[in-house]
This record gives sequence, structure tokens and C-alpha cells, in this order.
Amino acid sequence: MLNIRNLSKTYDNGVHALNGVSLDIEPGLFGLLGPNGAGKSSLMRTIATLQLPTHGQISFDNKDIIKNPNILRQSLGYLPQEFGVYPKVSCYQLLEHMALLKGLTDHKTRKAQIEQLLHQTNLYDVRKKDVSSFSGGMRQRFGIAQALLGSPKLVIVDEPTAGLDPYERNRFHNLLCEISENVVVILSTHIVEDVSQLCPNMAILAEGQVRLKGKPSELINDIDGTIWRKIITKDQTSSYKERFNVISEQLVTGKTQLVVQSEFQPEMGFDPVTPDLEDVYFATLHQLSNGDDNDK
Amino acid sequence: MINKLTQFEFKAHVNQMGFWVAALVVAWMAFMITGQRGSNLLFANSSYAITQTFLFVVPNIIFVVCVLASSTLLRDSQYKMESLIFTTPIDKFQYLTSRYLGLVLATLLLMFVVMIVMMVTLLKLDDALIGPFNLSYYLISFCVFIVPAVLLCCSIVFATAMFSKSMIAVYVSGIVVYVVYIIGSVFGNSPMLVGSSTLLNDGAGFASLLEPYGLIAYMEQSAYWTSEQRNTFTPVLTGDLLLNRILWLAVSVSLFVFTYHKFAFRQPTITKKSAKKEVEEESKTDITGYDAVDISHDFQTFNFSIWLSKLKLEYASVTKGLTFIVLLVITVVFTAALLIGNIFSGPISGGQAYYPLTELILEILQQPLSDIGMMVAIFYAVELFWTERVVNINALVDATPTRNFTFYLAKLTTVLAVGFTLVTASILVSIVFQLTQQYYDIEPLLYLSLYYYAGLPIVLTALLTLFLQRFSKTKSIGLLLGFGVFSAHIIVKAVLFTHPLIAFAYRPQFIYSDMAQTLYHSDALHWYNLYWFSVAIVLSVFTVKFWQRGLSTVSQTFTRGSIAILLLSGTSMIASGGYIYYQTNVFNVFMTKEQSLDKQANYEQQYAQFKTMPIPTVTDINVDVNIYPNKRGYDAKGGYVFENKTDKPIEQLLLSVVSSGHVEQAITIDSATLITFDETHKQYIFQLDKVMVPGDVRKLNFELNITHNGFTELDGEHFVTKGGAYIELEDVIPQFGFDERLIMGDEEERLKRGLVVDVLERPSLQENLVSEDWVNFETTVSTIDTHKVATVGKLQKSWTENGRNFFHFKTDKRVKQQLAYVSAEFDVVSKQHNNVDISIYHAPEHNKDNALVFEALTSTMDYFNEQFFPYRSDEFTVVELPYFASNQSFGSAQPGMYLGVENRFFNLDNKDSEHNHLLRGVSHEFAHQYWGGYLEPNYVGGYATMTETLCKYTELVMARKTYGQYSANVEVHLSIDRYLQARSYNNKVENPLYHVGFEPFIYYSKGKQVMHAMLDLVGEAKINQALKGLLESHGYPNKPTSLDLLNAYYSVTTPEQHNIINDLFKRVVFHDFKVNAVSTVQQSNGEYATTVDVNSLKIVLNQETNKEELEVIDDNIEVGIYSGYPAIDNSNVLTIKKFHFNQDKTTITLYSKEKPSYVEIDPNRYRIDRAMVDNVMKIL
Repeated sequence: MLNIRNLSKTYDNGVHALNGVSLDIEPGLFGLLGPNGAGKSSLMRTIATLQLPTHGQISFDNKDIIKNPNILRQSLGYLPQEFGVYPKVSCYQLLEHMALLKGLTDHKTRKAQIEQLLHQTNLYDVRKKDVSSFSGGMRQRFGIAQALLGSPKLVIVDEPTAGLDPYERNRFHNLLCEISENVVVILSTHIVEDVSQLCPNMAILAEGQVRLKGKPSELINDIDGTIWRKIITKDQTSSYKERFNVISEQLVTGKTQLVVQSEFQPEMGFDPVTPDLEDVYFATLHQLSNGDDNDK
Repeated sequence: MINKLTQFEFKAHVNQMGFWVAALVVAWMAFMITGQRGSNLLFANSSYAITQTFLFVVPNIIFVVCVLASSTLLRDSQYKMESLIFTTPIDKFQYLTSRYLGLVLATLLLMFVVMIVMMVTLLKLDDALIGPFNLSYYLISFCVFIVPAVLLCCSIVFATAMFSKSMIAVYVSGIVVYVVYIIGSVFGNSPMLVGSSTLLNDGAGFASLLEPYGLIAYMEQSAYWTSEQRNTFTPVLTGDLLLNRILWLAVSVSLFVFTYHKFAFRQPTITKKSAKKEVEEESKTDITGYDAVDISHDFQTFNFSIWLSKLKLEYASVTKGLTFIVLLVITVVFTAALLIGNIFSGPISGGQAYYPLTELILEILQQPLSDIGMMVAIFYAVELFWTERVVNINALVDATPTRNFTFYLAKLTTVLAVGFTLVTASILVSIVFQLTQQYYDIEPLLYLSLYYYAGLPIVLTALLTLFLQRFSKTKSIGLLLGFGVFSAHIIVKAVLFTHPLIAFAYRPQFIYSDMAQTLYHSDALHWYNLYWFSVAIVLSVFTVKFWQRGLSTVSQTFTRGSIAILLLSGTSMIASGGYIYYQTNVFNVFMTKEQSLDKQANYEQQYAQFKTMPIPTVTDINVDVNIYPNKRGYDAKGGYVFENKTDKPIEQLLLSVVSSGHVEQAITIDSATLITFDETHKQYIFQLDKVMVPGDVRKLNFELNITHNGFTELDGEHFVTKGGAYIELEDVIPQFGFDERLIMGDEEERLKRGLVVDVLERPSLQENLVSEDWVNFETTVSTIDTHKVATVGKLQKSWTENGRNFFHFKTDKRVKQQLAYVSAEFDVVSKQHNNVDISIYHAPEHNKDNALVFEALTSTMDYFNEQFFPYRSDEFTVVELPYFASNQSFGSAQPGMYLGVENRFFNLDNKDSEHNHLLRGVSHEFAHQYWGGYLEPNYVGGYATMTETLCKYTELVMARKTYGQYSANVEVHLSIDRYLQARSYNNKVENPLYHVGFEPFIYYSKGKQVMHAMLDLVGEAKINQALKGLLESHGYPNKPTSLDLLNAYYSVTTPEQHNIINDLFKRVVFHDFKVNAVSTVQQSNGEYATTVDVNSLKIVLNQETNKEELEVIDDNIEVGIYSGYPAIDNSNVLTIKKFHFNQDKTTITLYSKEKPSYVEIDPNRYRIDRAMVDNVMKIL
């Protein structure tokens, strides 16, 4: 459905945001995981036709969308990481405006869909208030509502659940699942949990490159048996880090819990762990930083 | 702390690109203006020139400040830094002061750049144009004008930015300041403002305070300074200038203080509100299923409702705010101010008011309205272009499938809607104004044309500004680009004009004649508009194609429609451009100012040898003229009989044909051969086959075919339009000999090109020229069937043939060669007076003046009849000229008739006027039958003293005779004022009246005062006696000079009076009177004795050195005492008496029955004093 080939993006100031990204994404939820500054937003914007890649191709439904951005725009729902709104415009008015910009020129169906989305994002009661006065969470829900206007075939949501309370987040996840049956939904996030809960397919992006891609279950399978855990005191951390392949550390009741990736038990006291997606993520990022160290 | 913070602010300004672009723009301005300055008398680096340049730059400071402020002052709220900054330890004082100082310093730095550029530009100028360098001239002007202006602009913008936190509000504050400046300038008649022409300065007091930059006050202060004084006098902080500076400094300071007190050092309270709202939406609704809705629009075609939705959103966003209301209010006030200022003052400041004709209102409004409209268009176009990016919704909007065109069109429509709303407001105000003046002929169609005339530049500016935004990365640069377009437009129009095809949004002069019911340049206007509109559309196609979507340039492919539009507009651009070029440069003659000056210089040098060659005299002219108003042309076919009246044989003839417009001509002379024809100067040289001996008579035939279409530059004495034609035929038909009309009059330019400075030679008594050069004139003229023709001669016969009206005119005696033709739709009214048939040809609608014209004319005729000799014909005709002639004159005298211009002589508001306001003009024009007619002076220096100055004398005596001795006093005061103001623009040593050249301020304005003084000195009876003698002894065919006139005056006066006459005519003399002290005591007989201590200095201009020198006075001067402030018509005078003064300081005593309260020396202004203030004193 969405095919990305060898996509690179270098900005005017010399930053290499994307570096040879290739992905094939089929209908369903696709999680794009990566740390801050990995290039996720650059990739999202490029797919959303808001910027041209330096190299590479993107096709959607076998149509080149770099040459013909408007083909994609007609079936695109996009929620950028951050956005503002016109002052003094009510939520309903602005949704209606966006609906028109998306081509929902039929009055009846437009009205029906806006009301439905207002209910689904729990904004119906405040539909007459100015969006500019909304709190962060409400504004985010407005963003979701506008992204789902029309009949999008590709939905791109960039860090969508930031600022949502757990209840709203759940609701949003359900909504995404519902629409993803025959639509490509790309969920860009740095929260592993979101991906593990929702996405049948995923990729990890770091430093502008795809580091890992596949189904979460398979990826977890791949590292099964290599993840170990040990609780140590805080002052031991650095020596452990020197000796072992520590992929993550976490505070547990004041003490440090280390997670190490290794084919065998690294040392006495390390317990084997059944890995989860978080371990996959950390392991991938850790490989990357190791690679950097080797370069140095 | 403040220091550091201010430094930080200052750096923020200087580091932005906008600062440097602004620096470039103002530096360029300073360079261009300084480059134009300098003359041999008034140096380019004179104190006055420096101040003027600063004052030219000053109104632009506000825009610069807007640009600087828009990106720095608003950055905290724009980038949501407020919560960070307001929680740091800096306090409100530090915060506000550093912001303000940063802005002030950055702006001052820019102005400093201007000053440096002004100094450096001097290097490029010719040495002769530069005087000694004096740094203090720059610094004083800088401190007096620039620093307060910078403070004011910064305070206003700062206050607006801090309170509104809105960029558009900042721009609007800029426009408000600009408009206040324009209103002040209009009321103060600023010479810097295009469109305000008169130099008369009566409303200055109020305006000089209102105008925020001190420009009017300075103009007022320096009005009478001579070039000599302008070189060295720096602005002095006294009087109105001081008040003005104090007022506006106080405004600046109080604004800052106000801002400081009212500014809340907190974030705006929106967050609180939203918290409340969040509570409201606690009730959760159930999740229902999501249904996709298929898009109903295919985006291949334009969708109306999408555009409308965008438009509604944009239009609401711009009109909802206070700023739009402010703009509307400004437009309303501005329009009312312009109309009141112009309509009530009439054609001569302080004279009769105009009727509030729609066409006059349009003429007044179209320029300022389109200027303000263009500015509004720039600001709103920039604002709207960047809205999405500024509020950061661009990612949402740009990713929608809506076509670029829809976005573009919505923004464009909004900008235009704002611009046109303002135009509409202005029109409504004008209509209300007309109704309040009980004028009901509204002419809605003409008003609609304002949308076209003032509206199209707004459209073009909006299109261009939107186009330019794509070249800018930030909003403030975008704004600067737009502002650059505006100032380039103004500057190109004013100084750098080269060709309409490269002057953005070029429009020819707006001049509409009610009589002719047409706009002079109407066809050309459409072509220019088509051309510039096509250019703008071509740009727009690219604007749409490269409309910014997202971050990088993702251009949209050309659709079939856009290619079609591109082809169409491109073709139309090339076609209309080509047609305009053909019309301006091929069909008509196009020359820049420099080119035409060069051509004039070239003519004078190339044909110099013909100056002294003997030329024959034309004795008979017979010509058939066919006028085609609808084709805007005419042909003239006819012949001359000419005679060699010299005592030398003539072998060669030089002939010239000079005319504006497109001319085709043919000339043949009996038994002569054309040897050269000079295409550039239209000069023919014929070799006579047989030498023309004295007394020989020959014939010449000519054929002319002339077209004057809308592209022809308006010539006020030569035009053909569908509703009226005016042709001074004597200027068009061939002339013998070296043609004086082709040489340059501007003395400064003559000096630059190494030509003799004086165009006219000085009069001498030896010459005693006698020349019988009047002609017999016969003509048959035809025009369309709705028109009548008036011309010189008696109407013999008129008939209609092939749907055209024919008229046959013939003179019964020889007349001066002044042969005007006027063709228009006329009503004719006639009346007989003392065996003279008087006829008035007027436009049918303009019928309210006839009685006044008859009254003024017959009383003037009676006066001449009594005092000199009767008018020498049995016919006199008055003809109304279309308004187009106002470009040249008020009226024109011809043998046996005069032509008066619409809205000058005709169609002025004559309701409620106590005096016959036409008396002045009518008596002047009729007097030309004598002065310039029966008495025709030799064409040397002082020529106009015997024509125009004597007609001014006639105005004076007619006013005195009809309305009393002092009734012309106001007129005299205004004349002195005009003279003193105009003389300071004179760039050579001032001529005394007796050898005046083409210097209207001398022969009209000073002339009127001189004759006023003569009436006091010599008296009407003796002046008339002298003039009557001159008419008899030196009338036609004699060509007397001003020296003959002076001899006539001498013959009726005493030797003591001769000295004063010489002062008046042969020298340039001023007086400086002053009342030093005054006291009054009641005497035993009940009378009051008032003792006055006065200074009476006499100042004479040395013609050799151009320096003023003191001379001891020996003159009789009036002193008067008054009950109350001296009234100009002396209505409250108690005693007025002449005293002989022969020293600088004198004490005199006056007696009165009543206790006087004021004393004034020379209250009737028989002498010229440049500082009147100290001539009056209150008696305590």
C-alpha cells in the first residue's frame, strides 16, 4: 500500500534527518518507534507531502506521491506533533472548515461525520468554544477529529497520545484500531507501550535510519533468552556498565535494576527475563550507541 | 541590568535580516533624494536641503519601526516565551525600558545610516552644487526632527504592540500615524505632498501643530528665507516649531508612561478561561462507531463553497478586530478632511468655493485613497499570507487536498474586500458631504469608476505583494518587500520616472471634465490597466503554482486552466505592452525630462544663426479646420500671405511646426524649394527661387492633420476630446524664423548646459520697435452636429452639411495672432451693452454664472470707456473651456474674446456670496484687450509688467471702485505671501519688476502689491492719466518696453515720488518695521495722545552680489491706531496717518477721540515686510 524506497532528507542547515529509509506498510496499524530526534517527524512530514525528500521515492497505492502530492492528500489524515489553530474560531466551525478543505462539500454527510467525530473525541459539549482556548488534551482530541474527517486511506499520527489522560488515550487507541481495518495508520511515538498494545507491524527509527522492522511478536522472539536482569546498588552501576552489555537501567525501590543482553548468563545473580518490546527497543538503541563508540 | 538588557534587545534588532533590508531601503532613499539636490544658489549640503531630505525620510520612519517591532516586540507572545520571561527576576521597568530603548536605538542607528549616506552622496555631485561642509547642519536637523520622530514612532508602535500583542494592530498604528501626517500636510499645504499645489499658507497654525513631524512648522518658519539664508540658517526652536516639538515629545513620553502603568506584567488570562471550560466538558459521551465519509469533491475544478469557507474565516479574522474599525474611522475622517480642505478653499486658496462636483471629489480622493489602499493591501496581504504559519496550523491545512488556487483566491479576495470596503466608506462619506452641501447630482457611475481608478492599484499591489512573499523566509522580510514596492512606486512616480511600461501600476493624471463628460486619458488608462493587470496575472499564476505547502517548495503542476490563463495573460501583457509602446513612443513622442531638455539645448545651438536673419511678416491667414471630437483629432488646411516688411532681402526661410500629439504636416511655398527638413525639431528650410526684396508679398500653403488621443500628454492649450476641443491654432500652424518656443526656459538647466542665462534681453529705450504684425483672419470650421465652435472674428454664416455643423468667421480689422478654437456643446446667451454685443458660450448645465459675468464685464467695460477709450469692436465673446485647460491656466484672452476655464471662471459655488467673485477674473481678462492688446509690448524683459501687472492693477481698481478702498486688502496680503514664498524657491538673483522674465510670482504677485503701493503713492487718476498717454503714444503698432511705462509714470509724478517708483519697479526692496513701544495718555481735551516708538529699516537687494544691504529710509509710511485688533479692512481704525521716516528709529504721536487698544505700522502693506508679527502692538 505505502512503499517508501531509500528516502533521505538533508535540511538546508546540513542536518541529515533521514538516511536511506525503506519501508513497506500494509493496511493496519504500523508503529514507528524512535527516540527524540530520530527523524520520525521528518519522515511523517515527508509522507504527508509537506516536504520533498532529498532522495528516494514514496508511492501510495502504486502512485508516486512525490510527483503528485494531491493524490495522497485526498485520502490523507494527518495529525502533526504540534499544531496551532486560528484564533476566535469555534471547534465546530474549524472542523467544518477542515472538512471543506478536504472536499466534504456535501452538507448533510459533512454535518453527520463532524457530529460523530465530536462524540467520539468527546468534544461535543465544547463544540461551540474557540479551539484556541482549549487545553492541550482537548486540542489533541480536536487534532484527531480533524485527521479522521472524510475517508482517509492513510492516517499519520505523530505522537498523538502526548497530553492525553489514560481514559482518553484508551479511547483513542480503540478509535485507531477501529479505523485501521482497511486503512494504513502510521503511529509515530516514543512510547513503547502504545506500539506493543496496538501495532501488528512496526519499525524502529534512529538517527534517520530504520534499525529494525517486523512484527512485535517476532522481534521479541528473536531476543528471547538473551535478556538478563539484576538488582544492584547505585554505586555499582558504572562498573557493571563497563563489564556488561547493559541495555537499560531502571530504579526499583531506590535500587538500580540493570538489564543486560547476553547469549549466556553474564554473572551470578542475573536472572533470565522473558523479553518484551521494550527490551527489543532498548537493545536496538544500545547496539546503535555501541556502534558509535566503536567508531570513535 | 538595563544596560545589558538593552544591549540584548539592540542586538536582536540588528541581527534580524529585516533591519538590514530596512537599512538598505532608507539608505537608498537618502541617496536618491540627496542625488537630486543642489543648485548654484542653494547647495546640496545647505542646512535647508539637509533638513528637507530628513523631512522627506521622516514619514517613512513609522514603517521601519513597524517592521523592526513586528519581529522583536511581539516575539515573546508569538513564541510563547512570556511565561518564561515573566517569571525571571527582571521587573516590569527593566523589561519595558530595555525593549523600548532597544527599538529606539535600532531605529536611530538606521537614521544615522541615512545621515551618513547623505554626506557620502555629496561626493557624487558636481562641485558647483556643494557648499562648505558643516557637520552642525546635519546634527541640528537630526536632533530637531529625526530624534523626536523616532521617539514618537517607537512610543506609538511600542504601546500598540504591548497592549494588543497583534501584528496587524501594529501596522494599523503605523497607518494611523501616516494618515495624521497626511491630514496635517494637506491642511498645511505641504509642498512635499503630491497634489497640494498652492504655496499659500493660511491654515498653517493648526496644521503646524497637528502634523507630527514638525514639517509644516518648519516650512512656515523657513517660507520666506532666501537661498542665501537657506544655505546657512538652521531650524530655530521658536514659535510653532517649538510648540510642535514640545507637543509631540510630550505625546511620546506620556505614551510610554501610560504603557508602563497599564501594562500587566503577566500572561494574558486565556489559560484561566480554558480551565473553566475543561470543567464544563466533564460529561463523557458514549463511543459510537466511526464511519468514513467519501469525499464528494474531486479537486479538479474550483469549488465555490470551499473558497467561501476559507474567505469567511479570513475575512472574519481581519474585520472582527478593533484594527479594522480603526482603519474605517481613519478613512472616514481622512476623506472628510480632504473634502473640506479642498472643496471649500476653491481654485485659489481663500477664494470662492467649488461646487462639490463628483468629478472634483474623485480628483481629490483618487490619489490618497489608492495610496492608503495600497498600503492596507500590502499589510493585509502579508498578514494573511503568513496567518497559517504564524498560528502554526499550516501542517493541517497544507496537507489537505484543496488546490493552491483556492487558498490564494481566498486570501486575495479578503485583501481586496478590505481595500474595497475602505473605498466604499470613502464614497459614502463623499455622498453625505455632497448632500450636506445641498448638492444632489451624485453621479453614481462616476463614483463606481473610483473602484476602477483607485481600486486597480490596490488589486495590483495585492497580487504583487502575495507574489513577493514567496521570496521571503519570514513575515518581517515579506513586509519589507511589500513596503519596498510601495516606496519604490512613490519614488519612481516622483523622481525616477522613465516609462509607463516600467512604472508599477502607472496611471495617467486623473482629470475629468463635467463639461466634456469625459476623462482626458480614458482610453490610455484602460490600456495601462490592462497591461499592468496582465503582468500581475502572469505573476499570480506562478504565485499559485509555487504556493507554499509545507516546508520545502512543493510546486503544483500546471493545470490546463492555469496554462490557459498564463498564455492568455502573457499574450495580453505583450500585446497591450506593445500597443502602449507604439502609442507612447511611435505614434506620440516620448521623451524623458532630460531628453527634452537636451533637445531644447540642441535646437538653440543648432539654429543660433537664424536668430538674426530677417523674417517676413504674415499679413493674412485663411484656414479651413475640421474638428473630429470622437476621433480626437482635427485637420487644418490653409494659407498665409506674407510680406517682407524688413529693409533687407530674404533668400532663405526657416519654418517650424510645433505641436503636441501625432502630427502629419505638409508645407508648400510659391516658387521656393525645400532644402532641408529636420525631423527632430520639425524645422523646414526653404530656398526662395527668387529673392524676396523689401515689400515683396508671397503665399504659403499648409496642411495639418493632428491626433490627440488618450496617450498624448495633456496640453492645456491643445486638446480634442469627445465632449470638447480647445485648439490655440497660432501655436500649431507654421511659424517663420528661429522659434523661441523651442528653447529652454529653466535658468538653472540653461546654466548647466552652458547657455546664456537670461532668456529675455533687458529693455532699452533706444529700441522703439514698431511692427505691424497683426493679421486678417478668415476661417471655415466644422465640427459634429451637437457642437458649436467659437473662435476669433465675426461669425459670417453657419450651416449644417452631411451631419456636421459649419461656421464661417472673418475679422473686420487686423487682429493680434491669437487664434483659439473651442468646440463643445454650448448654450449661447447674449446681451447688448453700449453697442457691443456680448455673448457667453457656456456648457448647458453651467448656467448659474451668466448674470455675474455680464455684471462684471459691463462694469469693467464702462471703466475702460471712461478712463481710457472705448473698446474697439462691436462684439465681445466669453467662452467656457473644458476643465482640461486648467492644466495650463485660468483663462486666456483673445482678440475680442476671453476663454474661461470650467471650475475656474465657470461653475463655482456662487450661493451666499456677498461679492461678485467673478469680478476679479473677468476684469483681468477683459483688461487684456488693452494691456497686451491695444498696448502690445516688445517681447523683452519686463514684457509682463505691461500686460499681467497692469491687469492686476485693473483687478485692484475694479475691486476698490465696486466694494470700497480697502476691499482688495486681503487679496494684496495673499499676493505678498505668495510672492515671498515663491521667491525663496527662485534659484537665481531676483529680477526687479521692470525686467522680469517668465516669473509669475513677480509679475502677478509682487506686481499686485506694487500697483497697490502705486495707488497709494500716485493715486488712481494720475496712474490712469499716465496709462492713457501711453496707450495713445505707444499703442499698436508700437512695441513699447517697461521703460516707456516708467517714463509715463515719471511724467505724472514728482521727483520724490520717482525714487519710490524706482524702488518699486527697478529694485528689489524690503522693509523691516517694528513697534518698539507704545503708550497712550488722555489729554485735558479728552483726546488720547498715543506715542509710538518704531523701527523702520529699509533693505535693498544688491543685484551684483545677491546680498541684502541696509539703506536709510526716506519715505512716508502709515501708522494707525485701532479699537481692537486691527481689522484687515480698517473697519475699526481710529486714526491712520502718514509719517515721514528718515532714520532707523522714530517716535511719533497719534491722536484719537477714543482710547486705542492696538497700534500698527503700515497696516495696508504698501511696503513689503517679511516679519509682520512685530508691526502690531497692544496698547496697555
